[in-house]
Formats: sequence, structure tokens, C-alpha cells
Amino acid sequence: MALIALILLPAIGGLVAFFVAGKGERERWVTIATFALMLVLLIAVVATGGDGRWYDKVSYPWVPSFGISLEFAIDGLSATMIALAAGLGIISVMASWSEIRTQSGLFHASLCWTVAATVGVFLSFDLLIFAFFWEAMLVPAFTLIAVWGHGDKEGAALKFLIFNAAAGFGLLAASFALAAMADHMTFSAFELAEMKLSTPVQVWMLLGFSLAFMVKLSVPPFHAWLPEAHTLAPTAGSILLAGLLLKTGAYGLFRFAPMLFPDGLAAVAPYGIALGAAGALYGGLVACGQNDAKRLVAYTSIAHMSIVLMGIAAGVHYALAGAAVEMIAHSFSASALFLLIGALYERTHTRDLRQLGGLQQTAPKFAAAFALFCSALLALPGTANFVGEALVIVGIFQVNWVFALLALSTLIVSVIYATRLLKGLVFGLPQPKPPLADMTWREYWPILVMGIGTLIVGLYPQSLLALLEPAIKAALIHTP
Amino acid sequence: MAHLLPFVPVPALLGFVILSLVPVPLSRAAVIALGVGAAVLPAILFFPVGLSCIEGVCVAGAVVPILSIDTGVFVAQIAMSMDPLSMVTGGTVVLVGALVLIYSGAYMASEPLPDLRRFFAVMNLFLAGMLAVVFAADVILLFLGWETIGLCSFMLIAFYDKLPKAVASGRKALITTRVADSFLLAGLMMLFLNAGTTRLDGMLAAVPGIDPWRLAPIAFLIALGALGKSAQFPFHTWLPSAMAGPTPVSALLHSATMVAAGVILLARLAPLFAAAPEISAMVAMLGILTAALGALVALIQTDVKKLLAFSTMSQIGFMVLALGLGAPAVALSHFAIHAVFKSLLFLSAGVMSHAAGGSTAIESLRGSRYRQPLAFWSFAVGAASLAGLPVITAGWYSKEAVLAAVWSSGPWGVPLWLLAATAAVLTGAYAFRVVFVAASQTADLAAPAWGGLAVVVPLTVLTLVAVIGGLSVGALIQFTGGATVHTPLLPTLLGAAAPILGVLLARQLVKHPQELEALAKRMRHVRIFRFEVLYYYYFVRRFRRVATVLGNAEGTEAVADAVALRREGVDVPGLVTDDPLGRGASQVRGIRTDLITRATDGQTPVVRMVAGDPVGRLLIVVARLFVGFFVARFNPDRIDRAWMGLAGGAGHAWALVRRTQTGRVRDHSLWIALGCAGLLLFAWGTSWR
Repeated sequence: MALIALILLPAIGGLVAFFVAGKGERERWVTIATFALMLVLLIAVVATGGDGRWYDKVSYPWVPSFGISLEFAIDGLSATMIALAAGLGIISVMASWSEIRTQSGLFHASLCWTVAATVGVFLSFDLLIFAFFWEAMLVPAFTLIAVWGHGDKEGAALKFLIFNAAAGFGLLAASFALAAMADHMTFSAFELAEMKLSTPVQVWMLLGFSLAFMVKLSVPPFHAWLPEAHTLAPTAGSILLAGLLLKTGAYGLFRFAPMLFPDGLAAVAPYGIALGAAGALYGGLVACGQNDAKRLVAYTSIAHMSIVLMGIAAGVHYALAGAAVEMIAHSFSASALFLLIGALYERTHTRDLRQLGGLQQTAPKFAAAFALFCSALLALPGTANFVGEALVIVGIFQVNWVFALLALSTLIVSVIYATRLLKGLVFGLPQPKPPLADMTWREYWPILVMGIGTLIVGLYPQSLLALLEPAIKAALIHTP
Repeated sequence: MAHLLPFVPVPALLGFVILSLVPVPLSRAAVIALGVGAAVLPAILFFPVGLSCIEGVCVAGAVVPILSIDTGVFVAQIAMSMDPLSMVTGGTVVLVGALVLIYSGAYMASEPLPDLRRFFAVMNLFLAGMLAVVFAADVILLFLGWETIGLCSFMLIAFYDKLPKAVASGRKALITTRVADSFLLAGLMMLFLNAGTTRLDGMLAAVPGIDPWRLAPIAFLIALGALGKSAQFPFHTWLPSAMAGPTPVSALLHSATMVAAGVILLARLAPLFAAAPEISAMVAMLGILTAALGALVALIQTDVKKLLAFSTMSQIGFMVLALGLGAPAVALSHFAIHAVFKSLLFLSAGVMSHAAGGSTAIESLRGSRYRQPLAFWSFAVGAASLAGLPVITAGWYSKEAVLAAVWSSGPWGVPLWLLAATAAVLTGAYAFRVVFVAASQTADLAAPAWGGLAVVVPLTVLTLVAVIGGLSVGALIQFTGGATVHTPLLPTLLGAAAPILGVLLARQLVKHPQELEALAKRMRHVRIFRFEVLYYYYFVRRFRRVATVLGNAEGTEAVADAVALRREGVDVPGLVTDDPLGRGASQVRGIRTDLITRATDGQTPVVRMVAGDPVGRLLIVVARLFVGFFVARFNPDRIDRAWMGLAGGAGHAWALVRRTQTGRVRDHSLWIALGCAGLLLFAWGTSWR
């Protein structure tokens, strides 16, 4: 029951937030309390210890004649992702405390529902239920962008919705095809994984699944929706998009591709690595030329998610561990940078790197935070991003050293865009003219937490890897 | 005393954490005390560790394991080495680091408080990172420190961040070294995969078992990484730009320690390179190339810091040469001696230029002998050591060891030795050019009083070491496991004559300044020196040339900023002209950003095009065309038309049917009659059967 409660809690919390909104900050506190409760519940689930592979696993038949059941399971990977969802939820509320002043009830309800749907994605092992949550998370996210965004927010929201909904069709179609191919119709991933399919069939099914996953991962050339959506969304929307929604794509690929289609994945892996390497380089190069700080960070997300794709496609132990760490590391670094840039935008009403600068003179706390997360962006050893990227590249060296060298070249590009961000924001003559209010505690604490998280994972990756190990072992497709 | 070793870098790290991350306001004195203290404490902690070497604890391969983490994916073994190599390099770093930071306490004292705090925080972080590199006995600690010092280098070069040129130089340094670092990372990863351990000694033990075809690329990649950090050809362009940082930064990072990290790495991995002779040969060639070119270009610099930067390149070239020839012990002794005299040169040049109103142009140092005698004589001792004046300077002993190693290095030894000796002549010439200019008299001898204990102590200590340190060179080489090479008398004598020849050359150049200019001019036309011009224009100034052609309006504003800052008394090294041919390159051109900077700022057409995200756009355009095509087919919606047509038909039918509804009685009676007739007909028809 605990797993269903994990999904229902934010869904109900959103409803409550919607109805209590009005005077005061009630809806904000309700939302924070919801996410805090989720964390408590999650810790309670994980604390049971489980059987080594799963902490908890439940299955309730729903439409037995079609093989549809409410099948949920949680392991270290899911638990980490859910913790991230709840944590980023709290951070989103804090980040939008002064930004969101209109229709606040609906805003916080949308936050909760986005989190609820993604938690559903992280827990579901019935492909139909998975597909339901997959599509469901688009709706509140669409609302977040379309109502509280900047500039051409409707266009950006529509692009986001069309791309992701269209790609979701691949997932749905492949799920139906898989269910139909089973001896008795079933959507349960565990039962479908037992099925022996020929490699070409696996490849086709995998392509259907990965259409949805790649668009959500925003691997070039499927990334076109991301820059606008990230740039024009409100800060909280950007945090949830980068920190959470992109991760559902990575999670889906990580979880289901090796589980359902091991032979198919092994067959297309070289193309996956190549696509990831090209995407990482491309995203990084595009990021180098951006003048809008938020857009720059959005493109770096593309590069980092491409590295995750490379890691999953490589399928060796190092690379998978690296991909898993990179998912978390990117959530921290991208969310923190979006938060910081959003906070800066509230004060200066510009995100143009040419019109900003000199933060280390005017707002030293901002400057220190930017320095830390730009270091993470350029994968400085000691940050979680380095652990992720280095492990992925070591893994790719085991598979193919040409791709590994290509992947390494992204490290060079990353230093260019990270220092560009630093140069535009932290260094230079103070622009606009001081005084500029430094970070408030509501901005400071999330940054501190994410910064410490980045450093802990960076200096002691064992803390995270121990939790993820069973899921990584399950995703291995090569054992060289 | 081995248990003290892991704690040596800790004070520096703590200094960084307190100064940068703890949000407590600190007074100026507190910041300086913390920053300097955090750099002096490692030296004090290191002292007993170094002393234990006398008891014979430090033997080759001595390692202090710190912790071992089984990440499930691999076992990360963190360890520090306590072998002669790390003791010599570590001792040098803690000594120079402490002295330079003491000096900075005075040099940076007039900076605004936040900048001062930032300076000391990053300097402390740098020191911690450098000590990690020096003591690392595993690749994780090594690369952690390696990248940390790279980032600190960027932060410190960009310290005067109001100058666009300073930030651009910092980025250039970081990007260039990152290119090399990614090669290094690739090499280390391949070595790790082959050896299966993160410990360096384990990796080196696995070297004999690695297929030579696999070993050569590994050695090649690691060598490139080391050469990049050490500003060796072809990665050297970042080092002259790096002089945009404050003088103590140049003294510590860009001469004594950080740029020598490549030398330390190559020395530590010497067995790997011994197993890959062709890569060693490449390293040696690049080393001698950089040594000769650096000396040549240093000769015609007009800025003392730039001159010292090229000199650093050249001297590290000597070390790399020795490493390539398989004499790491010799290279390390030259590293230690070079660190001392080069930081001495930078620190005393800083004092002299401070007395000269902040300008670092060599001409403005004229008369320093009378304005700042201590600084002048320290500089002279440093220059003598750099030139390697025989017997009385430490530089002679270590350079002589390098030359001896070159002489006895096989068939190529003599030609290489000749090239190296030529570079030594040039070294004497460029080093003493500055000394002679500074010794000459000028009318303006009014000097601001500046100095104090924080300046006198470092200069005195470094001067002493630069003189008597030579006695230790033989012991250093033996301690780090090298054999003393006995060279024939002739090369020794010639080697001793080379710096003297250089000094005489410098005397002539300074006496007749037009001759240097003429030399520079002639060098453009004399075929043999064409090489230098080619080198300068196509390697150092290439990017700037392109940028000039493309044009850049930011330059003039930057100069205005810089001039204003200098008027406020801020040291603005970026403003100094750096035209080697002495043709008075315009200051505007000097401040123009180069292509790397422009490209990374999205100012070149190619980058602007990429920045527009062509792939993403293409997808959107294709999607639009696709949608447009199909929408055109269904627009107007044919099915909708059919339904609407049906509706229209209904309307017509209604028009027809309504005619029957006239409402007249006679029409109704007609319909009734017809109905009755129909019924009767039906009844009649059914009764027929």
C-alpha cells in the first residue's frame, strides 16, 4: 500500500493546495508538507531493507482479462528518483515563493501533480499504467509553462506537449504489441521480460520505447522542444523539467531497455553510443554560443543527458554506474543553476550574459554559488558530475576507444560554456548598477543542500552507488 | 612521521573553506593572517616529515595508504607517496608557497577587502591542490589536484576581472590546459583499465605486461597532458597570457609550481615512458624545441613579466628534455632550483615595478638599482642563477646536470647538446638584459617607500637558497635515484662559458639599445631567424591577427577601462605592449581578444551559426513542412464537407416537402380522398387471391 500512497499523497496534496489557496501562504506550506511527508514515507519504505533487489513490490489485478494490473515496485534507483522528486518539489516551492503571485493554488496543484505523475512513472511496472503516468505528467507540466511562463509561453508549452505526446505514442504502440505477443495477454514488465523474442523484434520494440525516452531525454535531434520549454518556463517549471522530467526518459531507458530487450539493446548499442556522443558534443557547442543564461543551461542539459544515453547504451558496469550518477548530478547542477538564474532574473529582469556581470563585487553569495555549480558543469573532480562523466567514459573505453575520445572532447566543450557563464555573470564590471540584493534564505538553503549533495557524491560516490548497485547490475548487457 | 603526511595539505584547504565558504565578515588583518597562516602551516607540518628522510624512511616506492573505498564498481585506493620524488617536489612547493604568500600579504594589501579575501581563498585552494598533485600516489587524488589547480589558475589569472583581457586570458589558460587534461584523463583511464588499480605504483608494476601497441598510445596521451600543463610546445600560448594575473600568482603558479606539474607527473611515471622509447623521444624533441624557442622569444620581450613567462617555458623545456632522455632525477633537481630562482625573479620584479609606478615594461625598471636596491640585487642573483653563471649560482649546477645528461644520451646527444647550449647562451642574454637596464641610472629616482618584513624575508630566503642551493644538487640527484654523470672536460667548460657569453651579449644589447631593435628588425629578414618570426606570428599571435582582421569594437572600451584602472593605481599587466619587434604595437591591439576567446563568446560566424541550434531548427522546420503538407490535403476538411453537404441536402429536402403543406381545405380533402383510394385499392388487391 505504501507505494500507492506515495503516488496518491502528492495527488491529494495538490487538490488540497488548490482548495486552500487564498489568503496567506497556505498552499505553499501544504505543498511543502506533502513533499516532506512523501520523504518520510519513502524513508520508511527503504528502511524495511527489502529482499536485496526490491524494497517493496505489489501487484493488484485490475482488468485481468486484458492482463492489466496495478503493479508497482521500488528499488534503489526508484527510491533515489522519488527522493529527488520530493526534494526538488520542496525546492521548487521555495524558488517560486516571490515569483508566483497569480493563481497560486493552481500552480502548486500543478507542481504536486507533476511530481505525482513522475513518481508513478518511477514505480510502475505495468506497461499500460506506466504509459498512463508517462502521458499524465505532461498535463500539469504544460500548465506550469503555459500559465506562468515568460515570453511566448503558450508556443513553448504547446511544443513541449506535442513533441512528448507524439513520442509517447511509440511507447504505447510497442507496449500493446508486446502485450499481444505474450502467451496470455499481459502488460506486466516482469512477465514480459521472461518472454524470448527474436533480436529483430526486440529492436523494433526498443525503437518504439526509445522514441518516447529519447524525446524526453532530449537527445539531439529530438531536443527541439527543450530549449524553449526550459527557457520560458517559470523557475520552478525549469527545475522540475530539468531535474525530474528529463530523468524519466533516462530512467525509462535505464530500467526497461535492458530488462525487456537485452539482445535488441546490444544490437543497437553502437548507434546509441554514437548518437549520444554526437548529441553531447552538439548540445555543448550550441550552449557555447548562447547569450541567454537560462538557454545556455538548457543546452548543457542536452549535452549531459546525451552522456547518460551513452552510458546506458554502453551497457558495461562502469558506464551504467556513471549514467546513474550523472542523472543525479545533473539534477543537482541544472536545478541549482536554474534556481540561481531565476533569482537573478527576478532582481535584474534580464538573463542576457552581456547585460550582467560583476556578481563577485555586488553579490558574493550568488558568485560563490555560481562558481560551485559552474565547476560542477565543467565536471571538476570532486563534484558528482565528474564521477558520472568519468565513469561513463571509462566504460566506453572498454567498448570502443574512438567513441571514448569523442566523449572526452565534451569535457573540453564543457569548460568553454561553463567559463562563459562565469565570465558573463561573476566576472567583469558590475552590471546592472549595484545595489543588488544577495541571496535570501529561501534561495540560499536549497543551493546549500544541492551543493553539499554534489560534493558528497563527488567525493564519496559510494554513498549513492551502494543504493543503486542492484539496479545497475540488472541493467548490465555486457560483462567484458 | 609518515602519519603527518596526509595532514600537510589540510591547513591550506581549511584556509580556503574558512575564507570562501564561511559567511563571517573578517577584518583585513584577519584575512591576511588566515591566508598566510594557511600557507605557512603546511611548511611547518612538512618539516618533520622531511626530516624523517634522514632516518631513511623515504625510500623509492614508500606509500602511505589513506583509505580504500570499494564503490562496487571499482576499488578506489587513496594514498600518498613518501618517496624521494614527492619529498623533493613537496618540499619545494611548501617552501615557495609559504614565501610567496607571505610576500602577497604585503603586495595585495591595498586591494579592496572582498578581493583580498578571494585572492587568499583561491591561493590556499591552489596550494592544497598542488600538494595533492605532488603527494598523490593514486590517480584519483592526482587528477583531483590536477584539475583543482587548473581552475584556481583560471580564477587567479582572471583576478583583475574588470579587465576583459584578464578574464579572456584566464579562460584561454583553462581551455588550453583542459584540452591537454582530457588527453591525460584518456591515458590514465586506459592505464587503469589495463592495470585494474587506481594506485600509481600498481599501474607502473603492470606496465611490463601491457602490449607495446597499447602502451604507446597511453604514454602519448599522458605525455600530451603533462606537456599541456607545463606550457610546452604546442600548448604554450596560454602561459604568456597568464601574466595578466597579479605578480604573486605569476610567481607561484605560472613559474614555480603549477606549470611544473607536468614535469612532476612525467617523473613519477618515468617507468612508463622508459617502456615507450618513441614517446620519450617525442617528449625530448618537444622539450628542446620549447627550450630554444622560449629563450629566443624571451630575448626580444619588452615586458619583464612576459620575458619571465617565456623564460619559464624555456626552463621547463630543459626539464622535459631531461625527462625525455630518461633522467628524471636531473629534471627534478632543476625543477627545485628553478622554482626557487624563478619565484625570486618574479617577486623582486614585482617590487621593482611597484617602485616604478606599477608598470612592468622593462624600460620603466631603469634605475631600480637606486630605488630598490634589495629588490634589484635579489633580481640580479635570480638572473645569475637563471643564466647559470658557473660555480657561484645554484642554476649552474642543475643546468649543468641537464647538459651532462644530454651530452651522454647516445648518438643524438651532441647535436642536442649544441642546441641546448645555444639556448643557455640566449638565457644569459635575456636574463641580464633586464639586470643591465635596471642597473642603469635615470633622473627620476624618487621611490615610494614600500616593503617591510613581508617582502624582505621571502626575498632574502630565496636569494640565499638561489646561491647556496647549488651545493645540494648532487645530493638531490642521488636522493631521487639518479646517477651522477661525469662528462668530459670540454662540454663542461663550454657549458660554463655559455652563460658568460650570454651576459656579454646582453651588455652589448643594453649599451646599444638600437642594436636590439635592429636585431629584431634583422631577424625579420635574415633567413635563419625567419623561423622565430614564423613562430611568433603563426603560433603566438595567430589568433590575435585573425581577430584584428575580423575587427572588434570592444577593444577600445577595454583600453579605456584599463587606463582608468591604472590611474587608480591598479597593476594592469594586460595594458603593456607585447610586440616583440618593438614597433610600438598599439595598446588597442594589445587588448584585442583572440579567436579562441571570440569563438567561445559566440562572436564568430561559425559559432553564431551553431549557437542558433541548426539541428533543432531543422527538426521544427521539417515538422512544420510535414504538417503543412498533410494539413493542405485535408484543408478544407473533406469529411466535414460531406457532413455539411448532407446537412445542405436536408435543407433542400425540407424545401421540397414543405410544398405539400399548403394548409388549404381542398388540398387536405384531396389527400384524404387519395388515401382512401389507396386503401381501397390495397384491400381489393389483397382479396384477389
